[in-house]
Amino acid sequence: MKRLISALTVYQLTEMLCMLRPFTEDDVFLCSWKIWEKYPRLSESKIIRRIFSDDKVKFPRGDSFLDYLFSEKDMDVKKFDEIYVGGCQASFGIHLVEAGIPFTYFEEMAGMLSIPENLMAIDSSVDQYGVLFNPNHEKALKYGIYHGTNPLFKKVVCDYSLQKPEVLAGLEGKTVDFNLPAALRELQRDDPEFLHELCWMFNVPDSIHFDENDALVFTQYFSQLKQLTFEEHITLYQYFCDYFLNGYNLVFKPHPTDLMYYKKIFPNCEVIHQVFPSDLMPFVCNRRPALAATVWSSAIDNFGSFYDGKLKLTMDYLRSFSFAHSYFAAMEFLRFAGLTDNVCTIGVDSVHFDALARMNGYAMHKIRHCSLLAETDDDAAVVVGKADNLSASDWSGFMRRRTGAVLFLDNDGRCAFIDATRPDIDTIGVYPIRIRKIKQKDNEFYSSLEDEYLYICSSDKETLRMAVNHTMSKVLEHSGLELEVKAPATPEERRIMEIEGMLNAYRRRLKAEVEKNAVLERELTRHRGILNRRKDIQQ
Amino acid sequence: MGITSKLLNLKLRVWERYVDGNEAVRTVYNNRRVSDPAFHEKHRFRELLWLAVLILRNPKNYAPLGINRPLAGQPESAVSQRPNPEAFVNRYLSYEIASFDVFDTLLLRPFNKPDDIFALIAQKLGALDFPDARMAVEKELHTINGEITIDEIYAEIEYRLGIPKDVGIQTEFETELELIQPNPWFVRLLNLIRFMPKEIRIIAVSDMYWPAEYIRKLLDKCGFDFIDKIYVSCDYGVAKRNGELFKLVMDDAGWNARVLHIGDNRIADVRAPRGLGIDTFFYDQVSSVAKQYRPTFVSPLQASIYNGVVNSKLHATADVYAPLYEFGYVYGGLYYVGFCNWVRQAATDTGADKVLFMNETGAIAAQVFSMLFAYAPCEKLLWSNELYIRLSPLYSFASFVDTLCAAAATTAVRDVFIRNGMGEIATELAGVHLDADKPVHKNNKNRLADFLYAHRERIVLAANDEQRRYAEYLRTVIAGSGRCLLVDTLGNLKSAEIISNIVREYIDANFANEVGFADEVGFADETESAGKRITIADRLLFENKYHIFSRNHLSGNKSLFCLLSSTAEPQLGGLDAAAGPLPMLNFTLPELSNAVQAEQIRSGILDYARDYIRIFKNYPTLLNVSAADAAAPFLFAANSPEYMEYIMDCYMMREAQSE
Repeated sequence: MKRLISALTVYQLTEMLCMLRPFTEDDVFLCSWKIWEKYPRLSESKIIRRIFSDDKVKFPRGDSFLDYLFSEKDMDVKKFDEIYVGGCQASFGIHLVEAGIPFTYFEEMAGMLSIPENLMAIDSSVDQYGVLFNPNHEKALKYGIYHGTNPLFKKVVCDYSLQKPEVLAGLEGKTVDFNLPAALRELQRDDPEFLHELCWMFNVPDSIHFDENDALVFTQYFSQLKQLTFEEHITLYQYFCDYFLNGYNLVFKPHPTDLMYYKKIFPNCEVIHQVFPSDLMPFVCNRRPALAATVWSSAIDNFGSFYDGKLKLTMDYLRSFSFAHSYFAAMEFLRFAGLTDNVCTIGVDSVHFDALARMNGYAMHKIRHCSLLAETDDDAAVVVGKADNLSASDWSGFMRRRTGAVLFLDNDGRCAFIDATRPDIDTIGVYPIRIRKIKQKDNEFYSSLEDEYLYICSSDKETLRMAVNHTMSKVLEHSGLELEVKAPATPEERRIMEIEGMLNAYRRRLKAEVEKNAVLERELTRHRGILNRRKDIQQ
Repeated sequence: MGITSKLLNLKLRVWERYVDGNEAVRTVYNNRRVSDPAFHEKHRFRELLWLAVLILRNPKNYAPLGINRPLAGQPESAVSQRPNPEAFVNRYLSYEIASFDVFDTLLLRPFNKPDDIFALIAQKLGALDFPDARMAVEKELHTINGEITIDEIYAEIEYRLGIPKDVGIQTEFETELELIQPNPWFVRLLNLIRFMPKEIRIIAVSDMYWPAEYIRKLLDKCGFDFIDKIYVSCDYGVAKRNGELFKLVMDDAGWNARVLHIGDNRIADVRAPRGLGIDTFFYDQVSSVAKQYRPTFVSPLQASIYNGVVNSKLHATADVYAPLYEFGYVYGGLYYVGFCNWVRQAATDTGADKVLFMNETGAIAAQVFSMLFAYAPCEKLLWSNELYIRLSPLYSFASFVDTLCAAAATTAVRDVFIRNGMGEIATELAGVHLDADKPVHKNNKNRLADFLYAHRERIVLAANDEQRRYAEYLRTVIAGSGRCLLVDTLGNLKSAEIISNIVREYIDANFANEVGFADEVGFADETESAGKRITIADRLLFENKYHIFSRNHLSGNKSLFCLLSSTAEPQLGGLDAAAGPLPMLNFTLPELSNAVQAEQIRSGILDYARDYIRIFKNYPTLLNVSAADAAAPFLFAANSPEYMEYIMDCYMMREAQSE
């Protein structure tokens, strides 16, 4: 049987190698130059007999690579009995769909089928010159590739354990479960020679040494994906390590495409420099690290049971990492005021918030993350982040019936406290608490030094008294910041803080609106361009 | 038409075409005119002739307007199109050696041309003829000897100028070391290479007269202390440009090694290494990317410094800045540096121990001033146009009435009254048959005026109370100060006079206030240069301002200039009586519709000042920017209608029109 196997990422290639083994002379592999560049042993492997890569110099555009394959190598796609495609949203997948050739679809990475919006966000991002990250994004969207719904997909291979039930139900009959860690473990048991060959092919070192207190951090190449700027990428990991991994020895395992200089940012850390798929890590390390942590990496999901402690955030952290100080200050106040027993949140990154509580030892037995004001308990302490979908009247009713405290965070550009504390509810006391940031280092320092505020609203005098007396400080070693959290000492200072906070909040709201407007303008311009190009083609 | 009229017409045409229409020529001409007005008045024709000779001798320096102009339609920083280092570093996966040129690549001098540093060295050495001699010696020795060393250069300088060789070398090197700046694009790239999973050797290759040990110190200072080896032409006696120095590099590396070299010279850094099989990447010099976007200055040194700072900011990295941020940085930063230095000088000359910048438009100046002169007391004095109107009944009741009637023509009368602290009186409007909830129209406008005159006593009394409260606030501001300099950037001299009156009336009758005046275009106007405000202005650099912002050039520039002082800070709305000794200050939220834009401009201005201070902190004389030079970038921008339109569009959040 002749098979054509195309992979865009190492995860997909590893998955296909495990799932489709053994291979014969008739099996042909296509892989991206990104894989080829990192793993030159692919061409010498005993497993793979015929492999082609879209050389980045000769074929900077995907289409020319396909022309090369089909004409110069005399390869006829229709002559293959089976075709397997990972990274279908790239040019080869699009080509097959447009040619009407059925094939087996592999999800981009474990669980991605259920969160296609993350992949779409990456693919639709543009660089500084307005060039799309994935030039085929529009087509991929149109052909239902991100959701795996195109009728040409004979089978959709995905990891069931990470899928939303409704997604699997929607693709009923077509889906095939494949769990890479289970397959690798099976391989270790049934075909160790194949696993050994796989490790050799992917440059996996013979052994990796972990100590007792090591935290293994799997990174992502956020700045290269243009999801974050270079500076944000650094700041994100600095906050991540300061807030979640304090006291651990840091060991970084960068994503194979991530070339960030972690050793420079965290001088005392260890970096596993060898480039190899993280999925193969458990087979070569001497012991389990104390904690495996990641913002977003399937390596942890894949080997959840292997790692003793596990910390995984979500893609929301890419936006919420900059609110870490206010989350932390809010928790500190709740602890100081003895309000940790019953806590509700609205508009905060729940995974981030929970992880912060867990990793810093806050005994919050009952945290409920709500999306509506009505869902909160009246006597709970409510932490409010982004809540711009609520009207002033919503707030008015909410504030009147409350007995517990409300902590407004001024993050996300929508300081809800302004809407909540309109003059008609001026019976409620409001106490601002300022989070001042003091710079402690120059090297690799990109944090904002702008003050942040918490606003404590409560009808309980004792809580307000606690707010007035609340002070704390925290040194963030990796970020090079000292946080000084303090309530105003005098009524005048309090009033100034309130006005400053309101002004900042207004500015941020406005800025957010301007940015939103700019994004829409760009989108509009892009769509106009596409429309004009289509018209030109039609003419 | 008589012969005199014809001559005058001809003169006017020559003026319009060759002087007024050419920003570079106009600056020189105006400077000349103001430096000796009497002579200029008497010998106008001779002056024009002198100008013609000047242009003919240096045509490049006086290129007509149209060759150099600000970039409109997109941010200038987008032009350089540098790749992102984090993406570029991927290329190194297939190389063993990363090679870099040093000057104008890894290291940037804050000048347009490297030779301009000699002017500063000349100051240190006390040898005014040093720059020319230094350049001539280098050129001559190069022609005779080929690769030359710093020792050879200064041996010849010692012979010609009598400057001891060691002193010369040390002074030049210290100045280089002091001013050299790392190129941020390469700082990031080299650090990424340094920590790549694959070990890559990093080397530097330079055609230079400084030996490697000196270049090592320059590189170390800029954070490139991890470079493995430095190949310098003067150490080996062979150069990059003919490939000989690269042959040594390849001998060391092994001829099979894959090397990527980056540099800014198309021959020495691209063609020569390529001939030896070395891959190359051309990094265009920041100065050549931007040269068509820079204005002409009176002072060549200021021009060089300004270009060096601005070009490095906009074109060294892949960063693309917001158009309004660039506007502030490129066209407003130098103005504020010069202006604040002038204010500082004015304070010194008048013996003022504290400078007060009047709030509303003086906020940015106050921030730049604090940055430049951290040791000099300076404060933002709370004041606003609104407060001015509230206090104006005490000074001119008629103009107060006019102002209020004008405001009431567009806004409900009650709102106007409330805004001006007269909410109580507004309740009596019904008595004169005025609908308080509507604006006045031309038929009942006089009725409103009559109403105000009828309540004159109450209004004046209220204004008097408010003024007394302001005096209490003012007392706290000037406490401990013997003499203040008040800087009014509003252009509303009346405000400054009111404040002076308050000080004399309520605080200290002998308090000596001088009013340094800067109108809305930054400087006093010719026709207004009278009275005490000129006691400061006429002796100082920024006195010669009317020739920069003469009325002829104001019409279109005024609104653009206003953007340079716009801020989104809370405004003082009024003062209420409080329980304590001090009044309660009321603030109104500022105009927020352009808050983001104003913030971008402000950040640009402050960043320029910050960069300028960071680089030249040890050269305070360089802060002494003449008015002509300080205003040159702004006028350059304002003289381009396309750029003006582009910036105004960005400010007003309208989509810039595309071609």
